[in-house]
Amino acid sequence: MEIWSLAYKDLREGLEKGQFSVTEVIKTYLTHLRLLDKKLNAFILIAENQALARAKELDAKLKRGDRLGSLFGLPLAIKDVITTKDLVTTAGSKILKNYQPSYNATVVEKILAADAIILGKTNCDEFAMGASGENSAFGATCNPWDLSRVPGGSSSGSAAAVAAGQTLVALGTDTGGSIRQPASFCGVVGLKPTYGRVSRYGLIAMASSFDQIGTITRQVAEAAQVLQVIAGFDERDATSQKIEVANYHTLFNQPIKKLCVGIPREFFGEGLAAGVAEQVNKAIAKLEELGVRTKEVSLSTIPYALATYYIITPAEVSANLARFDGLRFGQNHWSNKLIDYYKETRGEFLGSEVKRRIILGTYVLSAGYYDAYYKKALTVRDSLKKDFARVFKEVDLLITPTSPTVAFKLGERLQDPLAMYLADIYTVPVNIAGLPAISVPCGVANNLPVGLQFIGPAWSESLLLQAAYTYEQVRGEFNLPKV
Amino acid sequence: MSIDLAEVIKLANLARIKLSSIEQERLSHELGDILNYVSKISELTKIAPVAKPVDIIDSNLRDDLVIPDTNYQAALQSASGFKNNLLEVPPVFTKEKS
Repeated sequence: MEIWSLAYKDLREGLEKGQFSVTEVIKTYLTHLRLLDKKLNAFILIAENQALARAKELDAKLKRGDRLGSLFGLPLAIKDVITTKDLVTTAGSKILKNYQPSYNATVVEKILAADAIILGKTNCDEFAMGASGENSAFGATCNPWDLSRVPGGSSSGSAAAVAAGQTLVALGTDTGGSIRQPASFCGVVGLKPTYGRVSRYGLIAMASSFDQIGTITRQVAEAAQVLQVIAGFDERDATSQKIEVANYHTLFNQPIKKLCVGIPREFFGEGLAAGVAEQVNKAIAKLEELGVRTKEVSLSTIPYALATYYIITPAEVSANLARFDGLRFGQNHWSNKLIDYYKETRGEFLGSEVKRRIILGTYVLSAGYYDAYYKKALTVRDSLKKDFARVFKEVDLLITPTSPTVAFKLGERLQDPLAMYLADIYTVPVNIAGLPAISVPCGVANNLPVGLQFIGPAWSESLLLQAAYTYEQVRGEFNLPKV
Repeated sequence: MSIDLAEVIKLANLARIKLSSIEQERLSHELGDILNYVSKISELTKIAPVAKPVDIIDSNLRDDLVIPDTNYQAALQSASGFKNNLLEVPPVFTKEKS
């Protein structure tokens, strides 16, 4: 068995028993990563020298008999919207092509303190805006299951890299499904924690009241291990919460008793591909065989969730991206008048989806439209939160498909923004309500993976991981593609 | 549905983005389609307005103290122009030619 195909549990055991060194592991990963990236374009930056230097340090640490971090020797990649002090961070945008942050994001500090190794920065839709990975200024990423298809987005490179074995784990971000939808398209596990569970300090903001950092892994166990490290209050992010972090890494494989799962009918209607529905229904039947009780429920505001999302997020985007003016960082187009400098710089270096959302956000926030769009959308957001709170009085978790379809063809939706937005229809409600959710592969349709989404009440990551792990065990081995 | 070109130009100006005429044309159609779709929220007439848009937990607010964090000299390494400890920018006002 290749080193890059080992689960972290086995990799860690091999390292501690001296079957291979950290340096050997990282060299093997880097070789595999480089070879496959010619086809996939999952990485914007490969941190070869830094990764090898760090591997050497960790080998010395092991030799000395020092206490090892909980992610010791774990090869990890980071979505390029998360700042890294020693590595250029582009956010998938031309405007930040050479941007060298002067600080690490809190999650980066935490994973480094736990002895993980950063292999590189992964490709993504520009400023995390997209559902296909095609909006990156550094070229689209291909899906390892079928190179003519998209890997999903916006954490496109993170999902493709984990599925292809270029890295064992990747960090992603999820504003409207950007971890779960690509995880579903690539046949890997994508965990979006509760809003406020993980610090956003150092995450280049897209829509601040939605964005959340999470994990993309091959197995639920690895999601639990990494979440354990990155979760928790951070005084540098006032929206992170002082809520106790459970022992995910010891709880995730505990048996669940008397679980009642809601099946919201709004996620199984028009637009859901037959092959996806078939796999999701099979997964639900498997859970029922285990004694999990299921109950049909309804969330009446769900049909309005996508519209709400595409009003509030562009509004936040238009404000957040005002900082990219070319003056303090990033590329610029010099002009003799400041206002022209701004316009030329942003016109030249921002991509079309980013411009579209900034202008849409400007529209919904402008006088005359604010009440009809933005203010109204905030009331729908509140109603949706109440709708979820109501169903979580009846059931412990919800199960839905992660995406209505399997991975679509590259270029297929590029000219139709609205069709692209519809790819997130089952994931955005979770972000609107700030809830945690996880996507686990549940089968294949037309030789492409299908994702099963578990949604939980706020701060229920332990239960979500337990449920996802329980399902993963009854599902059995899920083979990843050979690229 | 589409929004007219004058409106697109006005919005782009507010957003400080220079658009080509092709981009303006394309956006007038795309924004129209998107706005047409998102307008469906107006169907929801029986929902109560929210008191506050975002939940803020007061206890998370830091004390009002200056704590050194990122070194500003390091942060300014990314700036396009830096002279005499100041950012170099084009003039805000210029003399118009008569």
